[in-house]
Amino acid sequence: MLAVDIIGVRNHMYDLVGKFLSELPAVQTIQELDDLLKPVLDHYEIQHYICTNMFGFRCLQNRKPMFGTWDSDWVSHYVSNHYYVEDAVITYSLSIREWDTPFYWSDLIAERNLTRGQNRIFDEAWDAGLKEGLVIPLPVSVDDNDMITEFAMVSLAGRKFKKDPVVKGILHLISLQAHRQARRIFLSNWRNQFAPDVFPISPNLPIELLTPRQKEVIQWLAEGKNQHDIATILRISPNTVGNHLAAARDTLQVDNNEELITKLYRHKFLI
Amino acid sequence: MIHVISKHNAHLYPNVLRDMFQLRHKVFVEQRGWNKLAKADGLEKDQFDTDDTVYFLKLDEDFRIRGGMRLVPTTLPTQLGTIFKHYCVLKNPPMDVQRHEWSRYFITDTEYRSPAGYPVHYELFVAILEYCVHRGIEGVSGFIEAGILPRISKMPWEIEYLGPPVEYGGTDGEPVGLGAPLNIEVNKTMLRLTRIAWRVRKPVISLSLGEELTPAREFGFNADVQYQVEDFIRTCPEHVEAIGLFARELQHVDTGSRATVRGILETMTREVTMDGFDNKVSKTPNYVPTSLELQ
Repeated sequence: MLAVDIIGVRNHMYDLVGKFLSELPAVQTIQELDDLLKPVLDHYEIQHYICTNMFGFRCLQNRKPMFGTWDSDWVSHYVSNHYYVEDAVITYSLSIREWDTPFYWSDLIAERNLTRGQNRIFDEAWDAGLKEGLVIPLPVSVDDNDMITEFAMVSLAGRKFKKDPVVKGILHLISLQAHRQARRIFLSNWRNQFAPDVFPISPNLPIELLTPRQKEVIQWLAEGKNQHDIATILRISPNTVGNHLAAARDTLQVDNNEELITKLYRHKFLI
Repeated sequence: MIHVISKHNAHLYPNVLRDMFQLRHKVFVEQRGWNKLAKADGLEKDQFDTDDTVYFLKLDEDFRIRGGMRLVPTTLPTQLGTIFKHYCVLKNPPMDVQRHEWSRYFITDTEYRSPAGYPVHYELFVAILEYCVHRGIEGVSGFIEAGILPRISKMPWEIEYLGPPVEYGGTDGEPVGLGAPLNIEVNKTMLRLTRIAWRVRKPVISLSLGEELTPAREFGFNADVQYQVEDFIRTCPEHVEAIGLFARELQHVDTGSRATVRGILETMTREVTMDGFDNKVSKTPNYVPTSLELQ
């Protein structure tokens, strides 16, 4: 009887996946994709599912979410505390060479020597109800030397989510196909520009508000020139250079030149 | 160039085929640790290497193997139909004359670039797709390792998963791998898009005339010419040297004359194919033109 039940549950699972995969090609917007994903995630009791473009995708700034349904409180907390800087999930997935292997949070905690900060992030996630999670690395393209040039990552977690090889395979498959479709949607709608934000935290920078002269000054700053060097190069007074930089910092709402350069780099303004 | 080796021209490649089985043993058994495939003679040959298997091999200028893959018709026993059948939980593996299965993909040197600047896998996949499109093969299926799935996702291909990614191996000292059974639809548009995506404009298939007859400086041919040549070798194997000489002439003549030679080559092989429909056409070419005649 139990065996029959298990087969029944499995068949239901595969029906859900089959339905998802058959309806996926018709999806035209990210919202529709999220809606289609919802029943599958609900079935596995996953409350937090986020697919992030880590780097390399031309329609999005690095580290921007592509699609998913996520726990807003946790993401706000995560971003406002800059957890992405030391999060073990991110640092580990960027360092592994076996790109094909999805891994569980619990395996990561058990097998790696995590820093105190990294452990704290997992503890806080546990408190927020994300007790077990799965990370699926998606290396989208490599260059001629086998170095990754575009990389996305799916991170999912849930209160009652548990380790299960069959579920892992299904979520891997769904993530691969959903990411493929999302990528197509982004590329067809915003071919050569950044897509608008799907999440209000760390919005796209209003680069278009910078004046040409400010951009010029910033580019020289990124090349390692100081205020006096730039003044000599552009044949203006050092104070004017300072004014340009101050105005640019003001426009982009950053505190110092380091943050200005980093943000612009991440925004692909500087290469 | 990519050499297409089937039962019709296998006799022209005795050493290359042996090298390929040896190389496969080195790659799959010794490097990847798939111990179940180990053979005492050092030639990795399994139940899917039959007469009907077609091998696609990338041979460099010195006839060394740089990479390869095999294609098996799904009407015969295939990996997905037998050993990986239980992984196809979403859909049954295809079994159709127009569907083939690819397997045993290997590249010996990832840094190798052809004279035109392409990595091995570009030429290999374009050749396979071109071959499929020309032979009316509508789909290729296979058990693909998970590491390259996102990269396949990026290609403008229609992909259908037959089951989710699963772990395999782990017994007899073999490593645990992760892979998924999938089916890829092949058609003209897809071939064109692939060529555009990889910027492979020129033909990549060699005439596949074997170790002795293939000229040192090779030219690519479209899949239809290669098919005609293969057909010619099948119907009159005793005249295979004629094609070899023709192919050799190609490297001595300028571009304009080369087109003429290609034309003659096509006509010659077509005549044989048309034999029986038109009695006026001689069955085999009974002369071999020299480079002087071509001018």
